[in-house]
Order: sequence, then structure tokens, then C-alpha cells
Amino acid sequence: MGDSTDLDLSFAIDAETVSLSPIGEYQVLDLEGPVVIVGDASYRVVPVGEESDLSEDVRELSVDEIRAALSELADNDDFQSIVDNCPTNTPLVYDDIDYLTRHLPTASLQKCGELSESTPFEKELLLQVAYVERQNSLVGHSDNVLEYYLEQRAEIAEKLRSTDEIDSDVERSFFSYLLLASALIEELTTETVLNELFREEGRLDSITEHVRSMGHAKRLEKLCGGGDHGSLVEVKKRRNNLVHDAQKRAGLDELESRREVAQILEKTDRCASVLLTISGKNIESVIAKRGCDPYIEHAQSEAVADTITTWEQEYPERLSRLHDCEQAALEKIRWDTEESDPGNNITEGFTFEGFDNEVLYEILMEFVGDASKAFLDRIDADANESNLDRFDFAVMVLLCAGHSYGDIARWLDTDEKYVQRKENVIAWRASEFEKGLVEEIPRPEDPTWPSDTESDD
Amino acid sequence: MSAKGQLRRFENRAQLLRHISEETGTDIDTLWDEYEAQVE
Repeated sequence: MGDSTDLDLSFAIDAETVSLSPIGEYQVLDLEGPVVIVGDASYRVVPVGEESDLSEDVRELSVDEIRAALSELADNDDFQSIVDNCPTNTPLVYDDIDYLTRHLPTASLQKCGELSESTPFEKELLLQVAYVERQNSLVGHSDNVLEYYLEQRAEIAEKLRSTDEIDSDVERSFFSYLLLASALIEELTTETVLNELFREEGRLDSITEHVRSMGHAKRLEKLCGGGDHGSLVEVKKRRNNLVHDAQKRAGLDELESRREVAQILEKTDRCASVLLTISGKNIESVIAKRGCDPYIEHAQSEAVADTITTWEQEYPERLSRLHDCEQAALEKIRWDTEESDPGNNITEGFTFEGFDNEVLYEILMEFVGDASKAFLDRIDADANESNLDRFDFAVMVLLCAGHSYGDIARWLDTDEKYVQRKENVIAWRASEFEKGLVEEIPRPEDPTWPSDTESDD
Repeated sequence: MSAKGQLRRFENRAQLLRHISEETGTDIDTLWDEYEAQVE
């Protein structure tokens, strides 16, 4: 069936703003103590709280030991089972080893002891390395799938736009897309349910085993709290239909027009987007645009300092031209985060009146461009550091900005009731770290009764 | 990495080196050179 009308596809996941940190190779450096580098990110153990004098005796694990542990343990099943049971972050006030030895199931700790006896590595080192691996796989694993997903989505979208009819090329491309969408949804669901259970202190002997043994639909049901998860289950059903039935696959299960395929494409992308948000993996851009003033001030000031540090090393001449410019106060540069182009929306730190130096203007724009990337990095780092999970961290920063429950629910793909419930959770769980970032945590003042016409779900 | 303490993730080199500099007092130029020399 031919159809030559233009297709205007609109996707929920913005490939430009989603931050990707695929799993990378480890490198261990010695920078005043060991540092593990993975891609652009790095891990380092820092003293807990204010006890900075600890740093003298805590550097007892050598760089060589960590290098050896990372390379020797990579394919070890016992080590992997310890990794699987590691939480994805720990409370800031706790020493990691103290926390992990209390948190991990007895069986994992026993495996850790046995592994320590059969390898040259201390139990503490094994736990630390397992925790690094858990963090890396948390951030990286579904990002790998997401990267492939976005590539495949671009391919099928392009094929749909450039053809008049559904041919075998479109069928193959759509099928690959559906496999990746389904894998991404499953990956994010499992990860998020695991995180929820770890953080909600689920009294389960082996959390990972429990979650893996659930069916996909059950996991989704748990994640969506009994709410509407039908459209998510539908993606998996559609995928299964095409995988198990070659005839259906050939005809794309009776999708006859480009428009129908495009609609399923958009719908599937919305499903993946919901889970991406729940997992907190794409919260940076929402916080950047809608966060409360104290937080934006903190994150922009840190981002500008990070950018100056980088430019001092990489572009010293250009930086000194900016420093020499009378109209610039680099450390004070800030920009309006609600606008998409930070360069055209500098609000502080530069006086444009009477300024007509085009070369310097270009340099300034580059600096602000780099600072706006460092700004997203800083939000990412704060969300990881927080005692709240990434999604709740976003809810907190948005609530502090005084946005309505309805707006926040819309931006974060959830419902108002959930935002209200999270406001209660944040009141219990926000630590000094979060309070320092937003100055005052959200404070519900009025009871929220359902209206007469509204049914309570 | 050490036996005691809190594992922290840094999202870029400047974040990491600024932190180490604040914690240990080593200047960033030295840390930057060390980083460059060791990274593959």
C-alpha cells in the first residue's frame, strides 16, 4: 500500500539531551592515592564527613592491588554475585565498608571471605572493587542499550520518511528497533526495581535473585505501583509476537501503513521514556531548566569553576584573554537555564554594553558552552551523591522551586499523587547534603484531599 | 580507593582534580600533569 505523505515523527526521548555513559574499560591511576577511571568518569574514596585526618591511614590499598583485582576478578562468578547484591549508593554519613558489611546478604559476605582466601585480595578490597563495578554497571549497562536504541530509532525513522511503502527493509529495521526497545525497557525496569528494593530495605535474603525470578510483567507492576502499565506490557507482547511468529514478522503483525508503524514507534518511545525518567537517567535537563534558585546557583558556580580549571590547562591563552577583558568577571558568569542557548542568555558576569569584539565574543561563547556541559555534569554528580535516589532528587529540586504538583508530574512522567507522596519521603530522608544544596527542603503546608469529582486511585 | 571512606563518583576530570586538590593541598597543575602522564 503506497503512501507518499510526509511523516512528522515526534519522539519523547531527546537524543540531544540524554546523557550517555556506556560501560568503559577501567584504568587505575595514582593521584595522591588510587583513582579508578572509567570513560570520562572517575571513582575515588574520600574520607567520611569532616574527618579529613583519616586520609593519612586510609590509603593503604595500593594502586597495583586494585589493578590486579579489577583484571583478575572480571570473569569470576562469585565476585559477580557480590556485585549483583551491592547497592547502587550508600548513605553519605557511613563508611562504605561498614555499610556494605551490614547491607549484603550473609551468603555474599561468605563468598567474599572465601574469595579473599583463594586470591591475594583482602575482603575490604573485594567489597570496594565490587562496589565500583556495581556503580559502573548501574550507570553504564542500560546506557549501552540506550545508545543502540537511539541509533536504531534514527535508522527506522529515516527509512519510514524516505519510503512510500512498508518493504522488507523497513520490516527488518522496525523489528530490530522493537527488540532494542523491549531490551531497554526490561533493563531499566529490572534496575529500577532492584534499586527500589535495596533502598526500601526489602527484607529479602537475596534481592537480585528475587527480582530476576519475577516475570517482566510482575516487575512492571511492582514498579508502577499497580497503576497503568498496560502499554509497557504491550511492547513486550508485540516483541514476542514478532520474535516467535515469522509470518507476523514479515507483515509486521498487520501494521499496514507507514503512519501505523510511525504511531507504534512513537508510542514505544514514550514507554521507554517513562522508564528512563523513573530510573532518573535523564533528570539532568529537567533540573537544569526548572530547578530552584539556590541549587542552580550552586551548580552553575561549580560548573564555572570546573570550566576555568579545564581551560587553565587546555586553553590558557584564550582564558587569559577573557580574564583580561574588563567587561568580564569570569567566576561570576551565570546564564538563564530556561533558554536552550546559554550563550545568548548570559545574565551575570559579563557586560555587553559597548562590547563589539567579535573574536572575544566567540571565545566567550565557547566558554559558556563548556560551562553549560559542566553544569549538567555537576547535576549528575550531585544526583549520584545524594542520599535520595536520582528521581527523588529531581522531585526535591523541583518542589523547592515552588512548581505545582501537576507541573512536576508532567515533567517527570508521573502523577500528582506520586509527587505528593514523594514530598513526604523527602522530608524523612533528605540529609544535610541535600539541605545544603537547596537551603530548605519542601514543606507541605496544606492537606490535599481528593476533590468530589476525582476518584482516589 | 582505600579500605575506609566513602566512594565518590566524579563526572569529569576537573571535578576530580579540584576535589583532590582541596583534600590534599596538591596544586591542580601538578595533578593535571600527573593525570596526563598516567592515563593511556
